[in-house]
Amino acid sequence: MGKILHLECRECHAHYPAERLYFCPACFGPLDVKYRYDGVKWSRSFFQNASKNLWRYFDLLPIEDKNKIVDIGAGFTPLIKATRLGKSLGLRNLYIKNDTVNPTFSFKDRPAGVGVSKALEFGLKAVGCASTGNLAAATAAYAAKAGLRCYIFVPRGVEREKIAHALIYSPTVIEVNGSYDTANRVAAQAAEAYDIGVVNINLRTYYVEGSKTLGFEIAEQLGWQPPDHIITPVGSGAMLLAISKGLDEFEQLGLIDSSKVKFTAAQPRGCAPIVEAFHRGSDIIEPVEQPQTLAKSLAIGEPGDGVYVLRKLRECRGYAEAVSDLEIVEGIKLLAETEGIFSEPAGGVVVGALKRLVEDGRVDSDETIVCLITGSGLKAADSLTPYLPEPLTTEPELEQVARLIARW
Amino acid sequence: MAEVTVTLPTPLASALGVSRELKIQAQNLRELIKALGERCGTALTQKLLDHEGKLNPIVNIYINGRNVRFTGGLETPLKEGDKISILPAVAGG
Repeated sequence: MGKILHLECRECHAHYPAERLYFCPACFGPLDVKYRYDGVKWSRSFFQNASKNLWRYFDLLPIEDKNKIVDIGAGFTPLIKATRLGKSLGLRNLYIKNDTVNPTFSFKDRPAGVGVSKALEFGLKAVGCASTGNLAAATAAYAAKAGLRCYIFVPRGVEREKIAHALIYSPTVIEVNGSYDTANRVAAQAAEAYDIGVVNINLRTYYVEGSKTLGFEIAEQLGWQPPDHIITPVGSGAMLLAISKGLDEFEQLGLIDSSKVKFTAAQPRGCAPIVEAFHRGSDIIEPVEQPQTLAKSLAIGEPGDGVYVLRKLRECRGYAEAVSDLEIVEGIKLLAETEGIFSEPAGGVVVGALKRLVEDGRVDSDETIVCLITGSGLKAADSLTPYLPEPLTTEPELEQVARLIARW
Repeated sequence: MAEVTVTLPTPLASALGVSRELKIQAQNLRELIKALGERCGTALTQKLLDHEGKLNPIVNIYINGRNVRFTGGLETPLKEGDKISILPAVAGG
């Protein structure tokens, strides 16, 4: 008897065995993994000697056979008290979950690790993903480690650093002439036609489970309690929901007293379909056909989990904020200047959203707030260069250097 | 009346007991969904449309690769040889 009880449709609640199913054939709803929670013998002390990566939570990850785990050391990233950033914003309990330090420098190492491991368990020979860039490198790295073929579908215009990063692991990278959503549609069709385990499409049910380890870690690293407020960048919305699921599972197992957390969904203004629906008071997501934003990793015009994020935000009395490209750059710089962390634009979206909440008086100075910084700035450095000053130049003579230092 | 090719995702075709690829005759998307219901059972129509008769937001329908939400929705006209893909709204991660 495996640890997975069944897959459950989020819409009609139909149950299915834990097979290669990525949506409910009865109603098209997404499927969630439900475990045999009675069999999980977790206690706080259980984790004292657990591995310092995401597989410390193996008992609630959807891989049955430990031999199928593909591990490149992702997870259990630092939760840092952001004292200087907090001071600049007037917040006393601000934390940064720094997922830029994962092996491929983004949080995508979490779901990709679970997705590729599940592909191995299913006996698949090839994996892949549709990606705005971060997932490309993560999937390719895990595929390399697992020895599986890998097909990466990216939209036109993804940062070249991200393409280069993915290419180093030798997958087949296919740049689709269109938006992310077009690349996603082509990947979905290829998954069916060529039996590829596209981690964020036909392995999605299992893949998203990797992201819930962010919720586990945040609660564990805060001394077994959830924060008051989590601010997350939102593309499809899958990560926000996964974090919420992780906290709910911790509560169900008695590891934390309550999983009640306020979420803020942060999107770039050039692609903010969830934020716009939230502010309209609507349950309908109006898709964005041509996203225009510096935050390429959030340029998902047809967010698959958008309606569920809306429900979650309303249930937890959370917020949704869309910030401009300029606010994104200011957010990246503020984070770097105060905390020494270089984030990709998605992190600038989060810091920009937090600034808005502070300015509007929507957060309390004593609230425990966690900002998710989910990808490294080195992945998008070229796109930030226009916003940075030129370096000072000098002849190699101390007198001239002194002049520059004085000026500075 | 245009004859178009409709491709269903494998788990759905299996559940309905029909082929993944179907040839259907219709003039627009609304008619196509009605004809699909007649061919595969009304359960399919109920999956594709919500209780108000609008496109189900958790399903994406593409005509020659373009999401019908950008082409006029249910009133999108069809022409001979169009390729229609029906996919669950799964994107991002």
